[in-house]
Amino acid sequence: MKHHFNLFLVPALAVLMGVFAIPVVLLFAVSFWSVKNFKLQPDFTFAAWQRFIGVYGDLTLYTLMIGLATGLLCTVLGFVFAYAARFKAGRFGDLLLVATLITLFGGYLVKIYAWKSILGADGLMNQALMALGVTDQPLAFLIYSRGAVIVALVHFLLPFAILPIYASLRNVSETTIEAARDLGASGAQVLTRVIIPQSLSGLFSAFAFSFLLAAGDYVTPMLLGGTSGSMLGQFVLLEFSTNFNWPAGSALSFGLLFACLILMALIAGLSAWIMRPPRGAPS
Amino acid sequence: MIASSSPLLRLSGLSKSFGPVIAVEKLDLDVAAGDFCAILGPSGCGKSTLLRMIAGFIEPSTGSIAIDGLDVTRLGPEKRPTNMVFQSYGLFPHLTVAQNIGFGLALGKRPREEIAQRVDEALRLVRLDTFGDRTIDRLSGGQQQRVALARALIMRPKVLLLDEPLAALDLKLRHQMQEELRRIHREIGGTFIFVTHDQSEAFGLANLVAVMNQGRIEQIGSPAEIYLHPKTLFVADFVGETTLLDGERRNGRVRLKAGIEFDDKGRDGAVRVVVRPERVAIRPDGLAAVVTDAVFFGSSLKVSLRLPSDETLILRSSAPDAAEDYKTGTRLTVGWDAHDQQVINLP
Repeated sequence: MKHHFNLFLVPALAVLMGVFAIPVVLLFAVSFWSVKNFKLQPDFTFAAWQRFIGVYGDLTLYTLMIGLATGLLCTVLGFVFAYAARFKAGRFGDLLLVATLITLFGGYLVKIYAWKSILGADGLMNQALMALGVTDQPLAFLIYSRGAVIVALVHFLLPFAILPIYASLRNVSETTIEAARDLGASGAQVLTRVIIPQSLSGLFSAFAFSFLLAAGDYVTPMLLGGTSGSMLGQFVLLEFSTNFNWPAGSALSFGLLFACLILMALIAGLSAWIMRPPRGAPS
Repeated sequence: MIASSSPLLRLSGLSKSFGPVIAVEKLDLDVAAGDFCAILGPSGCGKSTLLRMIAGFIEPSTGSIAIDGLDVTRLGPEKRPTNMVFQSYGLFPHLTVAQNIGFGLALGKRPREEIAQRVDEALRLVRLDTFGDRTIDRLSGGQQQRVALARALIMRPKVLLLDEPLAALDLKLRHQMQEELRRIHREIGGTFIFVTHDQSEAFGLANLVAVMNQGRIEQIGSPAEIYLHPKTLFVADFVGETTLLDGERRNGRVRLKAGIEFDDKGRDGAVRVVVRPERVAIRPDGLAAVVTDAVFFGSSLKVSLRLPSDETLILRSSAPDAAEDYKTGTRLTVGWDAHDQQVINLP
């Protein structure tokens, strides 16, 4: 039996190797190559990696921070929304979920331009603030800043966070909640000791989705980030296209990838530590 | 019947309506300390709603609930001295068996040593001594039931509530668990209230049975009272095998369509007489009857008899040679003692 299954796996494995694994490995190898006269040459040098750390080190940290902020905001807001849809909305829960899916149809650029028109110098927000007399001239920092990038990314990525959390909350049986209350748990204790521990996998995939998509984004910072809200993705593009420095582009991509993986491992470890069994419970 | 001056649990005028639907009609119920009380009724009779009102999950529409003299009607489940064993157990899948059982104590911030010791005690009580470190998904249904029981009992509730505790188990486990529940009740001397639709379960466990139908308590009493002296047609019919015979009462004398009469005080009008099958026997002075069917059940023989009134009377005999006496088509005369019958007035 086992032998047959292995045979059946071969085509899928071949496709995966051909279109994913091999290109990724090749691209990784390129990060150790060099460029002479706009020609890529096989080599073994750490020049590209030095460039990544020396020139782009700070930017990588900022990028990770924007990703982290977006990921955390999406996870928290996504949990609040999914919790309401699962436990408070009754039979409208599924309808709320469909509504979140509909926002995905709108497209990505449309949302960015929508935020441009809200946050811009003569945008909705500034007009409202001026009409209210909070400020007498448009606030420049609303747009072309890290804040604007985070707001637009959270808006775009929230559905990707809601869906996995909702799926995991669906699996939390109501009887476990009643049982916890029966055993003396307050509302907050039900949340932290019964609901969240049972939906950790959903929370983590929500965070992973929104964090990775945010950290790797280059369109939003290009249109909304200005100079202060730049992200590494824009420079990956720059190195690959304008500079024709493929080794640097590759080192930037993989550097960001590794940084993201390390950060996610830390978050996973941290959340497992926070969610360890209740104090005083026998092990 | 309980006639204690201060019952442990007192329900007074308790009722629950969901919009226009009355789930539980106004009822009173007293349960004394140490009682093992069964709420027995068909599905949809409101028995689970009643239990959940006692636990605090459903707020009653009218009436009050007092436990140990203290009004708990407005308290949430986390503040009541009750604990519940849920029908689907509701064990925490992210915790081990020991952590499940210690959950309530850990919430109460008890010292670690005390929790560990009481969890060990609880595990021993439900005979899962070596299962503390297991995860929930590695337990059988019966073992999960025991964990749920231990998790509730460790809180030392004044009243332990059990919602169809044995319904999810197969027949053999159910008998075993029934024994276990009796033993645990004996050992800890607590007050248990459980809901069931299975009368053998109710009679096998409880010393006090409340029969419910359509949101009303039809009768409260010991299993023997309920079985031998049902007060309503529903109770007579729902509890055990029974024969109901048509009759009429005039001036304190009941005349049955089947052809016998006897003295019985009460108002004039149509009545039904309830007779339990094992109280019926062959007698020289009884009713004429013809055997229409006889089924052997191992411990007894169930015989269907046709009476002159065309009514069917059921007889159960555990005599060793019963099959000889009750061959299909045999004509015989049967009867029962007057105190084994129960006369119920029809409305």
